[in-house]
This record gives sequence, C-alpha cells and structure tokens, in this order.
Amino acid sequence: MKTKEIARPECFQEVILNLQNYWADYGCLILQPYDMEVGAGTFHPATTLRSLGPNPWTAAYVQPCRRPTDGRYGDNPNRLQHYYQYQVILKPSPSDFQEVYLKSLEAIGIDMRYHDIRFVEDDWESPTLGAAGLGWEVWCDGMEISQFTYFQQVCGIECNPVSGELTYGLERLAMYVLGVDHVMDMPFNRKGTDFSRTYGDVFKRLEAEYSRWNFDACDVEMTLRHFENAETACEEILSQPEVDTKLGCKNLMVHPAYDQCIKASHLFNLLDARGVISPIERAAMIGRVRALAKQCGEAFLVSELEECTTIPAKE
Amino acid sequence: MPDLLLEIYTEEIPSSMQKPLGEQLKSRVVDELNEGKLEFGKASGYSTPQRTILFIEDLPWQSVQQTIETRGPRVGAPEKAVNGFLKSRNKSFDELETRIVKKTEYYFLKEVVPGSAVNDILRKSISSALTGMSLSKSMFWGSGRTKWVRPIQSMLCILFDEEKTEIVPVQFAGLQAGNTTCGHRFMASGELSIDNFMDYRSKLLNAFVDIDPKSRKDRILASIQGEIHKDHPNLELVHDEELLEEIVGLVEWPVPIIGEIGESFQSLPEEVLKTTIKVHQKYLSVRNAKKSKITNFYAVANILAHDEGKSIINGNQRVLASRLADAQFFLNKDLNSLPSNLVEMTDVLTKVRYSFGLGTQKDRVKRIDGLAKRIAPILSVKEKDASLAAHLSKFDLVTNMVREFPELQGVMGKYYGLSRGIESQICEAIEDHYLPVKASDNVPENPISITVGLADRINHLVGFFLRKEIPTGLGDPNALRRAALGIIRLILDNKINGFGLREIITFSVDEHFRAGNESNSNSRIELKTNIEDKKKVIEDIINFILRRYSIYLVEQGYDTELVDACIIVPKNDDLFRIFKKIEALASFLPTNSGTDLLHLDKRISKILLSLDPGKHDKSSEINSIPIYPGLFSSSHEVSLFKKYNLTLDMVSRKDVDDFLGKLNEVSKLRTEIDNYFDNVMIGVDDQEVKNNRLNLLANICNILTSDFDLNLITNH
Repeated sequence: MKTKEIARPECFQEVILNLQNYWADYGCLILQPYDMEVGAGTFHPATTLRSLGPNPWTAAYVQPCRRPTDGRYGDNPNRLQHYYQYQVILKPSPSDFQEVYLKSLEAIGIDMRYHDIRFVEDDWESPTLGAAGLGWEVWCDGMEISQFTYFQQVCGIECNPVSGELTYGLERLAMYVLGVDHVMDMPFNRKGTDFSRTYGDVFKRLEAEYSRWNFDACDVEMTLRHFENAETACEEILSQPEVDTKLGCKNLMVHPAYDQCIKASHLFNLLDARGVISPIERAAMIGRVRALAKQCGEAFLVSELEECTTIPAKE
Repeated sequence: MPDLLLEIYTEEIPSSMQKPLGEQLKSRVVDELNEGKLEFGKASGYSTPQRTILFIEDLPWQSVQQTIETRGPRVGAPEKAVNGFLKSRNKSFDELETRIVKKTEYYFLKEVVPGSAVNDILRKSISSALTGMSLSKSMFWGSGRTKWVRPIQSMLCILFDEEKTEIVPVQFAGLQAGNTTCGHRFMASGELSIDNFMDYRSKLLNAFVDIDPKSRKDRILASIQGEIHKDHPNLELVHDEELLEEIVGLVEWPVPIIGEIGESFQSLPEEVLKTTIKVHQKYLSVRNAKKSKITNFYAVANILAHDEGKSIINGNQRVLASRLADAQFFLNKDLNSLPSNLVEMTDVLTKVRYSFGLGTQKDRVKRIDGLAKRIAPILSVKEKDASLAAHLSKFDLVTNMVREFPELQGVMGKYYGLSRGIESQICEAIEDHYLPVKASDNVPENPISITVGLADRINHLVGFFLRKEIPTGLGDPNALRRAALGIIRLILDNKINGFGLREIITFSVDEHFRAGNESNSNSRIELKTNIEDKKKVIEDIINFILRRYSIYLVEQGYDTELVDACIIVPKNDDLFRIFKKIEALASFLPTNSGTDLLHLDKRISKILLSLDPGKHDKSSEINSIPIYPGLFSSSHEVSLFKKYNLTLDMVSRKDVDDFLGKLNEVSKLRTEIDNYFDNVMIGVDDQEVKNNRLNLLANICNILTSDFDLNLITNH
C-alpha cells in the first residue's frame, strides 16, 4: 500500500474522513450506514451476513448505533445513547491484520512513538446474534479505542474462512485524538467559521430527548407488541415458498427477514432500558432474537452457496 | 552438545494463558523426545505476550543406533505363521534367533535402527507436539484450519552449538520455522537473525524485549522502588502479587509511569478506587503514608516514549478520572435515593430474579433470614442481629453502583449501611458473608457474617438440589461446589462446635416445600423434587458436602484413608467434630497403641469377613448383638468378655468428643485379643458357640464404629 502524507485531523468529521480514505486505499468497499436502528455496527448485513460462507469480502462503513441504556441526557462527558462506530470487515482476515490496523491509527494522527498501544484480551460475544469471536480491545494510553475480533461463529454458524472485524468507537477515539474532555465540546467540523458546530450543537438536544423516551416515555406494552410482530414477520418471511411466482425462479427473502431480526433486537434493547425485563425473561428474549438470527444466517448460506439465487423455475 | 531454541511468535496472548501454554508445549515436546528415546539436559520455558519460548539443552547431534527385538511365533508353529512373520519384516529364515520366554521357545528378529540426525527427530517431534496441543480457548484465523490461542505470525527453531547453527524446519499453521525473529513491536524494526540462545537473549534485549517474565517483574519493582525512594518518600506501593503477575504478561518491555488520582476522587471508598484502578485499568495502587489514602497509581506502559511518557500518563489519568467520575455519579445517586430504613429495600428485590424456579431475590432473602435465625444460637449471635443482617445481605444488588460495578456487591452494601447508621458488625456481615470465594480469601470471623454466610450457602445448595440442578463432571454453573467449600471453611476455620448439617438442611428443605406451596405468579417457586423424596435429597446434600470436605482435607495434606475412616461413618454431619476425629486419629495411629489398635481391628475383621461376612456390616446397630456367657468354654473367652465390658464402660464414660481417649481404651484390648486368637478356635462345628464367639468379636469391633471405620485404613 502506498503511504501518503496525511493531514492530522482537527475535528470529528476529519477523523471519520481520514479513516474512510485509509480503508478506501486499502481496497475496502466504502459502504454507507444501514438504514435501521442497531446496537452495533456488527448488525449491518454487510458484516453479519457477509461473514458467513466462503466468499471473500472487504468492506468499511460508519454505523450510527443506539444503546438506550447508555443515555445520560447529554450530561455525561462520554456516554451517549446514540453514537457512531467505524466498522471494518476483512474476510478472510489478512496475516498482517494488526499492522494494517495500527497504520490506520497513524492515519488519524496517533503517533506510535508517544503512545502506549496495547492489545488487551477480550473475548467478544453478541448473544442476540449468536456470534462469538476471540480478540482484544485495543487500548491507547489506558483507554479502549477499538474492538479487534476474529469471528469464530456468527448466527450460530461456524465461520470458515474467518473474518477479521474492527470496530472503532468514533466519539471516544476522536475526543482522544483532538484532546477534548467532554464529547459535547468536540468540534464537529473545523473551528473558526460561521459554519462551525460542536458535537453538542448537533446532538445534545437529541440525547436529552431520547434519554427521556428510552427511560420513561416509550410505551412498554406497545414495544413488546412490536417485538412480537417483528419476530412473527421474520419467521413468516422465511417460511414463504422459495420460488417467486412473479419472477418464476428461486428468490429467498433473506435480507427482508434479517431486517425484522434487527428490529426485534433493537426493541429488546429498548425494553431492557425501561428496566421491565427480569433476568430470566431477558435470557429468553435474547434466545428468541438469536433464533431469528440463526434462521436468517442459514437462509443466507443457502442462497450464497448456490451460484445464483435466480435459477430458472421448472417449465 | 547442541541446544534447541524454539520461539512461536504470535499476536498478543492473554496474560493468564501464557504460562499454561508454555508449560504444555514444554511437556508435550519433552514427552515426544522421551518416547523417541532421545536424551537431553534441561528444558526451560519463557514467555512474553507475543512469544512462547522453549529452550532445551544438551541434545546430541545424532541419535544413538538402536537394536529392536521383535518376538515372532513360537518354535514349532505352523510354517505359514513363521513365513508371514518373516515376510512382514522382509527378513530371511537364517536371520531368526530363538529364545525361551516363560518356558516356551520363540523366534526372534533383531533389527538395527541406525541413528538419525536429531534435527530430523526434533522437526517431527515438535510438529507433532504442536498439533497435539489441547488448548482450552483457541481460534481459527484467515483461511487456515489450524487452531492456536491467537494467530501465529512466525516461528524460529534452531539447533546449535559453539560451531554451527542449523534451522529445524518445523512446519505448523502453514508456516515453516526459520532462524529469524523480530524485536519490540514499536521500538525495534527489521528481522533479527539468531545463532544461539545467548545471541537470542542479547539481540532481543537490544530490541527492547525481555523474554523472562521474572526478570520483567524485577524490572517493574526495581524501577518503582527506585523512583519512590528518590522522588516520593511519602508514597508506598500497595503490593499485589496477582496483579503484578498479570501485568508482566501484558508487556515485553515494562515502563512503569506514576500518575495522580484527582484530589476530589481520593475520598471515594477505597474499594471503589481499588476496583477501578486494578480491575478496569490494571494499575498498581500507591498509598500516601501521610494521608493514609490511595493518592497515586503506576501504569506499566510497554514503550519508552519519546516524551518520557508524558502523553501516556496524561491519557491514563484522563481515563481514570472519567471512570471515577462515573463512580462518583452513581455513588451520589444511590446515597440520595436510598431510604433511611434500608430494610424497605427488600421490597425492591422482588424485581430481581434469584434463579429460575427459586423465586426472586426477596424470596431468597426471606429464606436466608429463616435459616440465619435458626443458626444464630449455635454461634451465640442475637436473633435480631442475624435477621437484620440477612435482610440487608442482598439489597445492594439493586443499587446503581453494583449494577455498574458488579464486583462491588457486598462492599457497597456495607458502605450504604454505614451511611444509614446501621451497626458496624452488621455492615461488616453485608460485605463479607460472601467470603471465602477463592482459596486465598480470608474466612470471616465476625459471628454475624458467619451466620449469614452459612445461611446463604445452605439455602443455595438446598434450592438447587431440590431443582435437581446438581453439578456433574467439571461443570458447576451454579457454583454449588464453591458453596459447599464455603460452608466447610467457615465451620472449620472458626472451630464451630455442634453445627449439625442434617437438622439445618432439613429445616431449609421444609422451608422450600412450604414456599413451593405458597408460590404465586410474582415469585414462582417450582421444585423438581417430590416431598416423598425429601429424606434422600437431604442425605444427597450432606454427602455432597462431605465429599467436598474429604477432597479439601486431602488437599490440606491429610491422608486419604485416614480422612475416609473418619468421614464415611453413618449419621456423620458435624464437620468440626469430624475434624477433631481426624486430628485424634492422625496423632494416635503412629504411636504403639495405634499399631495395637489397627492390629486387633485387622485380625478381627479378617476372621469376621471369612466366617460370617454379614456380621461385619457397619450399618448394623451398634453393640446390639447379645452375648451368652453360658456358651463360653474357655477362660480366654471369659477374660476377653470381661475386658470387653470394662472397655465399653470406660469408653462410655469418656466425653463424646474425647476421641484420643476412646481410641486408647480400645487399643488396650490387643493382648487379650491375641491370647484369644492363639487359644480359642472360632470356626467350630457347633453353630451356637461359633456365632457367640463371632458376636463377641463383632461387638469389640463395633465399640468405635459410631466414630471411625478403621477398615478403610490399609497402608499404615
């Protein structure tokens, strides 16, 4: 890979732009955020589904994430119920994965001669996705700045080949690079112009609104109903006949089904934030979402392993 | 003689796994070499986060020529068999030799296996050792199908002496070993070509890698002590061996840097500070002797930074401050919202489940309360104190702090208890009724803590046994073994007399059945045991505890047979009393009287077993067999009977716990017994006389059966 002289980022969006450029140069597809509420960048079908099966895949994207329980009404210096993750997925994981990652840190202005970068044991697990992997959290001077994972299992299915997944917590990382103590004070774009805005200008109000919604206002009964609807929808989509009568060929609706799985997962998080789920119900609901993820993963493999999903139907 | 050096260079291996990984690799390679009859000197292992290293000294270059002898068919066997034997080894008839083994003459073939290059043997042995590793947590990476703890980057494997260095081209995980490695990830660059072990150590030291964990630890301590001595005379390092060991496995080149804890956070409860500093950030705590507070910390970096660590420590201080600010926030929130009467918190516990089928945490607390009140008198604890401590034992589970820092359960309960004016002994019990958890934990001495600790654990065991969720094999998801061990250590270390497990467990079982009957939708209690099986469950629980007890005592160095002889006795349920028996028996057996006792017991058991096995059934009621002196025909019988009655009388006058006294009394029967055996024929034809004689012997054996089963002792 060619080394370019990269300008040190001065604001939040430049940290993102530098990462985008770096991973584009590496050869990744630069995808856009998935248009649904998710708890982590992993939920994007470009990670969850594409990490299954034998086909190589290399992609990167920003993903807005929702963690209803982490809401602090915009008061906490580094806790948000809505934040951005930068997600990279390399399948199969390259042998110089760590090195490539470290170079990406240089691209956003972390000088390795001045900082203490560490790979600290962290076995990653997403019970709702039936996913697990081994790897590390990456620390920079004692702060976790990324999650670094070799996927071993996704949707309850063993990964072969293994995908390498990188997740950067963008706000936290940018705050560190830019030397900001409170997330709301972080310059979103460059300082000193009429258009200059801080992170707080953009998000403070939203954090307060959503915190109230997540913790107090969101209707429990309705959310529970939505959860059950999403669950039913997912199963119904997958139980449709394989052959699309209009197209006249096989056409499994894996992605529409997976959307419902994502939806169920987020609704579960919302209910969790309301504190209405007992530990035992919690385990049961996680199990229900996992069952959906498993069905979606299996359906994806079926369509992926066939040369083409649209084979001519019988005459 | 050449030495072998093997280095497996990987991505960061978790600290706790480095040592076991190195140990296993060493023993597997050593086993392979032994199997190949290769002689060698010392084998030693070293490790860093990225390196697993094996160094074997004094190998030969060439393995010795070996003669292998194979036995064939016996002489005179059918020709077909002999020819088959020859053919399978590609030999002719003249090469056969004959030899007699166990009175039969056999054909033998001698084959000479020439020595081969040790390089070759090592390559095969190491490859096979690597493939055969059993790793508890391992992974695949990339497109490969080899498993290791973390991805392997490269391997170095060389065989060398003063004159030459050979590469041992081991193949594993799609890689082939060479003679190069690399230095520190950030402070060195380029390949290092290695000739021998000295060369390896020194080149790596120059490249900022110290391969020896012990030496890294010494560096950390020396650097910290040096700096404190020079610049911070008021400070002292809080020594934490466990944490230090972990840190050593996180760095290849340790660079301790001192940081400060913000003034405003120094007043946080010390446990909160320590948890954040140690568990989350892996810093070493530093105490200010003058302020008697933790005011500083050491972060151990893995790099000598260009600005002498200024950026690093600033970063670490910021992370710590933000974590402590979080803790402060939750702490204040709890202090402001907790009711002045903390017992009211018990109602909030209905929101939290204890375990499926065992109700909520409130139900749990109610049952602990019942048990604690029952146990209190044994420990001379006031019932009201035991009950208050039981009620407050779990309330902190629903506080913000414990939800955020689960490892602070108990600690926060104590802290909040004190803030609401609860008596300090009770607050102490809220904190340490959880102890001991690990083997290294201290056992609480406060009687209220012990009371609640025992109640909590017995409730736990009984609940899961009634749910039939009993650990099998290695798995113990509900930590029942730990609960049993907790009961054992609480009773033993505190020398608690008169704690009858059977009575307490029965009480708890009854409580569970009662709660099961009152079960409603809010607190569902569903037992999987029928009331008819009550007795069996109670015995199962006692036996489960006794089994752990026996394992624990053997680990403490007591002889297995001796422990069994004291534990495997019917109706045994008082753990401390069992311990007193073990102590007595352990000190008694090595004496002359001890020898006498075992001698007479063995002699009697032997004859009982051979003439009438039924009599020796230990479960038979003690001393219940009547003896008819009218059937005596020899003076030896009369005198043994007299002596028996005398002994019985002496034993019954002794304190029930005077085991040494009882053992001693019975041992005095030896002379009479020996005389009896020398002069009295037991196996006579007259059944009545024979039975009467056997019964007398059985009764003698039975004097001690309520306390000991001496038959279990075979090796003294």
